[in-house]
Amino acid sequence: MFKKLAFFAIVVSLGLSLVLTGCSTKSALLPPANTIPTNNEPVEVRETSLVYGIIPHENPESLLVERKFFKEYLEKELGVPVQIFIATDYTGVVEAMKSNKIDFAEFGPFSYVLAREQADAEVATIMVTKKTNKPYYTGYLIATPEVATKLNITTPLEGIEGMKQLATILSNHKKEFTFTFTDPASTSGHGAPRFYMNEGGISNVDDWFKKVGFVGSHDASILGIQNKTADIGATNNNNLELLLQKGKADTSKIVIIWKSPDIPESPVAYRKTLSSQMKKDIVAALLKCPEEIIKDMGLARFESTTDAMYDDVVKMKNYIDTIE
Amino acid sequence: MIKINQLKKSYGSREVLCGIDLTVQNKEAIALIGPSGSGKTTLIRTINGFVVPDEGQVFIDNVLLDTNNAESLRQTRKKIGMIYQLFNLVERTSVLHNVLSGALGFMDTGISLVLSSIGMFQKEYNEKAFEILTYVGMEDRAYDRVDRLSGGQKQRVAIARALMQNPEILLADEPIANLDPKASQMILDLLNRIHRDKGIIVLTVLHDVIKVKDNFNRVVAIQNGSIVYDGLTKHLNENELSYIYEFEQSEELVFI
Amino acid sequence: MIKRKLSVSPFSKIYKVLLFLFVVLIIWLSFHASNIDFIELIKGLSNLSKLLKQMFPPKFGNIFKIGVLTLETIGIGFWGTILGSFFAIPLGFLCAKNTSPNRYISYLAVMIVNVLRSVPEIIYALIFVVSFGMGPLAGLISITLTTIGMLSKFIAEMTEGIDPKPVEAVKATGSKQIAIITNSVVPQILPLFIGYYLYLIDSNIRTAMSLGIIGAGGLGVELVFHMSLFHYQKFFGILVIMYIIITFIDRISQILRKGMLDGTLFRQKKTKTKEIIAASSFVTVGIVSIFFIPTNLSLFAKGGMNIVKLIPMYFPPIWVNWSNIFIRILETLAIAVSGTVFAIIIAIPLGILAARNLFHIQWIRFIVIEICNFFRSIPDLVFALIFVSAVGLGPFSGVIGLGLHTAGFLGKIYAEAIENIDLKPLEAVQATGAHFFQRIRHCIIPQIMPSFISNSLYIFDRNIRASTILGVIGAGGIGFELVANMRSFEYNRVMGLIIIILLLIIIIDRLSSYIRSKVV
Repeated sequence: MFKKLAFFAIVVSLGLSLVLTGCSTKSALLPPANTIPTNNEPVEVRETSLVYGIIPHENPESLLVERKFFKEYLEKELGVPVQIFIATDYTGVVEAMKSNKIDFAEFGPFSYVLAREQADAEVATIMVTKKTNKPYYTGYLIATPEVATKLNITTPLEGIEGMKQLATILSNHKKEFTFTFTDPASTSGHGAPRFYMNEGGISNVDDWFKKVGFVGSHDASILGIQNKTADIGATNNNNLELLLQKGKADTSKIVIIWKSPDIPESPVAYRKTLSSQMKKDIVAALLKCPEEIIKDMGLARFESTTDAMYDDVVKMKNYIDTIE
Repeated sequence: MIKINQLKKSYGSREVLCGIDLTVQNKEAIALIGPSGSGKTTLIRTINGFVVPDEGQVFIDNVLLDTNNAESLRQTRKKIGMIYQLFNLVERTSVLHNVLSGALGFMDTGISLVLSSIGMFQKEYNEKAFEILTYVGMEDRAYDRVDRLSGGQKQRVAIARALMQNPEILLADEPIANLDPKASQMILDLLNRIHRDKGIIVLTVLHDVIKVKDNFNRVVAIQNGSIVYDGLTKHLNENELSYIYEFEQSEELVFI
Repeated sequence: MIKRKLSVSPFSKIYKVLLFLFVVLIIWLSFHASNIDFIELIKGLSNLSKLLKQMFPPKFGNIFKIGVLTLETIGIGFWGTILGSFFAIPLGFLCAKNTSPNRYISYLAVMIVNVLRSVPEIIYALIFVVSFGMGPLAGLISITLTTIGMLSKFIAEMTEGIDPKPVEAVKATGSKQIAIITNSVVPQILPLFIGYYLYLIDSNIRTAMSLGIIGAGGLGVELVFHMSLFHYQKFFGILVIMYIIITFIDRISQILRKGMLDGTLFRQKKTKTKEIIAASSFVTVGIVSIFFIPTNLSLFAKGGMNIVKLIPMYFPPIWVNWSNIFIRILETLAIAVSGTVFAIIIAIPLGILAARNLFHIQWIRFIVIEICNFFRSIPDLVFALIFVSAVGLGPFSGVIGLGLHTAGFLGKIYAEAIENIDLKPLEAVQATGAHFFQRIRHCIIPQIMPSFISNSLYIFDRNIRASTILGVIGAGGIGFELVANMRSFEYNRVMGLIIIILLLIIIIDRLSSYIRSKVV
C-alpha cells in the first residue's frame, strides 16, 4: 500500500512539474510560434516581437547577464519584446534562422556567408571591438613553445607571404605535428587559416600534419595548445586576449606563429523576410547604441556596412566547399 | 438437443469423419471415446462450428447450424460452452478476468459492447462470476493470475468461464488428459454435478474406459471416423471393453 | 463476503483510471514542453523533403580518407570494448555477492559500476577531448569506461544467477577463490557472456559513430564537418557509409550470436561455413582497425597527466541558476517522454507488419524488418542532427531523433511479442460468441501488454540517458548547458551538471526497473 502511494506521489509530482515546464519553457526559452510571420505576406506588418540569436562563447548564464542591458535597450528602441536565443555553435545560429526561430542575430563572418546562402540573411551592421577599434580582426596560428622552437619562429610570420614561409619551414616537418581547427563554420578558427594555408602552399592538410581535427571552440583550441594536447592550433586575437585577460591562458605556454591578413568583423544580420520598417529600425537602433550598454560585450560600436565587406570570406567559403 | 446427420469431413486425402449420425437428447451426458486420430475432436468441434463439415448437417434444437452466417453462428455459440485439454486460458490475466470473458458474447449491444471492448464489465457480471467461482470452488483465487494455478485449478476456471454463458450444451474436449488422477476425478465430478444441477447436455471426449464406466451412462465409441459403439456403459461387454483397452494400450505405446 | 473482495481488488477501477489519466496528462504536457506542434511537424516534413532532395545523390568525396575514418570508428568501438573487458571481468566478479571476497568490497564495486554505466558516453568524451585532445583516443577511453560499467553489471548478474551446486563442489575441495571462479562459475556464464560481448562490440561501434560529433574521432567528425558547412550531399554520403558499416557489423554479430546459442559455433565438424566467414571477417576487421587508433603511449601519458591536473578543477561542483537547471531537466524528461511515445506510435504498425504469425507476405515482412534495422543503425544524435536542419534547433528535433532511433528497437521487440502470442484462448473466447474487438481486447492485448509496457519502459529509461546529451547538437535538454559550460571551461559547473544528470539517470533507472518488476 505504501509503495503504491509512493508511486502515486511520484506520478503526481512529475505531472505537476511538467505543468510548470509547459508554461515556463515556452515563454522563457523559445519564441512563441504565432510571432513568426509567414513568407510572402502581401501587406507588410511590423513584427510584434523579435528573437535575437547569439553564439555561445561563454556559459549561457553569463551571456544572458552580459546581454541584459543590450536586450533592454533594443526593447526600448524597437518598442517590441526581444528574446535572446542561444545556439550551440556557429551553424546553430544559421539553422535557427533557417527555421525561423530567430529574427536577427550575431553571426561570425563565415557563418554569415553561410546564413546568406542557407537562410536568406541580410547584413545590418558590423561589430567593432573595443580592442581594435576598427571593423577588422586577425586570425592567429598558435603553437606550443617547443614546436615554435623546433620551427625556429620567434616573431609571428604575417599574411600570405608569411604563410609561404611557414610552408617552407613545415615541409621539413611533414606529418610531425598535430593541428586543431575550432569549428568548421568558424572564420578565424577554420575558414581563414585553411584558405590562407592553401594560398601559401599547404593545400591538403592531412598530408602535412599527423592529425587534423576540430575541437569545437576557440577556447578549446587555445587550451589544447596550452595543455600540449595539440601542437599547432587556429584562433584569433580577440579570443586569445580575452582568455589571457581572464587568466585562463598563460602567455609563456602559447606562441603566435602566424598572423592572418585583416578579416572583416562579425556582423549582426536579420532575416530577409522581416518587414522593411523593422529592418530600418534595427539598423538605426544598433548604430546609435551607446558604448556603456555594449562595453560588457567587448564592443566599441556598431558600424554600417555592406555585403561587399564579406567578399573575401565568400572566397574562403568557396575554397572550403571544394575540400573533400 | 443435438442432431448430427451423415457428417463427413476430410483433411486432404485423409477422411476423418465418414458419415456420422448421432442424436443427443436434452439433459443427456455422453462420453465420446476413441483412439487418437479417430475423429472425436473433429466431431465435437463441428458442433460449435469450429470445423466446417464437407457433407452432412448439425442441428442444435432443430435449427441447422449455418457456419456461413457469422451472426447466427455467434448466437448459437453463446448457447454452447466449451472446455479444452490445455485449458486455453489467458495466462497472464486474473482468474476473474478469464471467467468474465465467458460472458463477452452477451455484451453484444450498445454500451456493454463498448465497455467490454475497453475492458470494463458491468457489476451484475462481476457478481455472477463470483457466484460461479464459488460454485467451482475457486472464489478465493479470483484475483490470482492464472499462471500461478495448478492444472486442476485451471480447468475449474475454464469450466467457470464456460458456465458464465449459461450454456445449454457443454462440450469438453479431453478435459482431464493433462491432469493427475486426483484432479481428473475432481473435474469429472464437477462435470457430473453441473449436469445434475443445471440439467444441460454434457458431451465429454475421454479415453480412459474405467473413468467412462464410472461416470457416464451413455458412451459413443469412434474408430476411423465411424461410430463403432453407441449405448449404455453398463452394456459395454467384455469383448468390446477389451477391444477398447487394446487401442488404449497401443495408443500409449505410440505416445512413448 | 463478495463485496469485501471486490473492494480490495488491486485492479480497482479508480486506481486504473487515475493512472491512465496521469499517463495521458504527462504525455500531453511533455508534448507541450517539447514544443511538439503538428503544424510545425508538417512544415518540418516539407522541409525534410526539400532537405532530402538537396542530399541526393550522395557524394563520397575522398574515399581514402573516409576509409581511414571508418576503420578508426570500428577501432574505437572494437578495441574500446576489449580494453573495457580487461577491467570489467575482475570488477564483475567483485560485484557479485557469491564471488566477492566480502560484502563491503561488493558494495563498493557495485557503486563504481553504477556510476560508470550511468554516465552517457558523450559526457565522458566531452571531458576526455579536453585532456587528451581531439581524436580517437578520447573516444576509445569513453567507450572503455562505459563498457566496464555495462559488462561488469552483466557479469555480476549472471554470476549471481548461476547454479550454486557446482560452486559448492569446487569449494569443498578447498580451492582458492580464483580457482573457484575459473572452474565453477566461468563455465556456467561463458556462452551468455560471449553473446553479450558480441552485442556490446556491435553497439559500441554504433556509439563510436556519434562520438565523432563532439570531436572524439571517427566518421562522426566528418559528418559534423559537412553538416556545419551545409554540404548536404557529402553529409548523406557519410550517412550511407555509416549505415552500410553498421548493418554489416550487425549481421556478423547476429550470425555469431545465433551460432553461440545453437551451440554450432567453434565446435568441430558442426561449425557452419557462414559462421566461419563471419568470425574470420570479424577478427580481421578488428585486427586491421587497431592500426587506425593511436597506440602511442606518450599521448596517453600526457592525457593522463592532464586529467590529474584537471580533476581538482572540477571540484567543488557548483550550481548556478537553479531555476534554469530545473527547467532544463524537465525539458530533458519531456523530450524522453515524447520521444518514447513517438517511438511507440511508429513501432506498433512496424511490429504488427513484421510479426511472422500475422502476415504471410514475405516481402512486406522483409521490407519492414529492414526499415527497423535502418532506424536502429542510425544513432539518435545523427537523426537529431538531420532534423535540426528540417524542424530547427530545439527539443522537437531531439524528440524525432530519439523516436526514430528507438522505434527500430521497439518494432523488433513488438514483433517478437506478437509472435509469442498463445492463440488457444482466442478460440475459447470465440466459442463464447465474443465479437472481434472483444477477442482482441481480452485475449491478444493481455498477452502482449506486459512485454509492451516493460519494453517501452526500458526504452524510456534508455531515452532519458540519451536525452540528457541531445543538447550537444542543440536538440534541447540539460545537455545544452553541459556543452556550453564545457566549451567555456567552467569545470565546476560541468561537475555540478554531471552530478545532476547522474542522479536523474539513476532515479529513473530505479523507478523503471521497479515498475517493470511489477508488470511482468
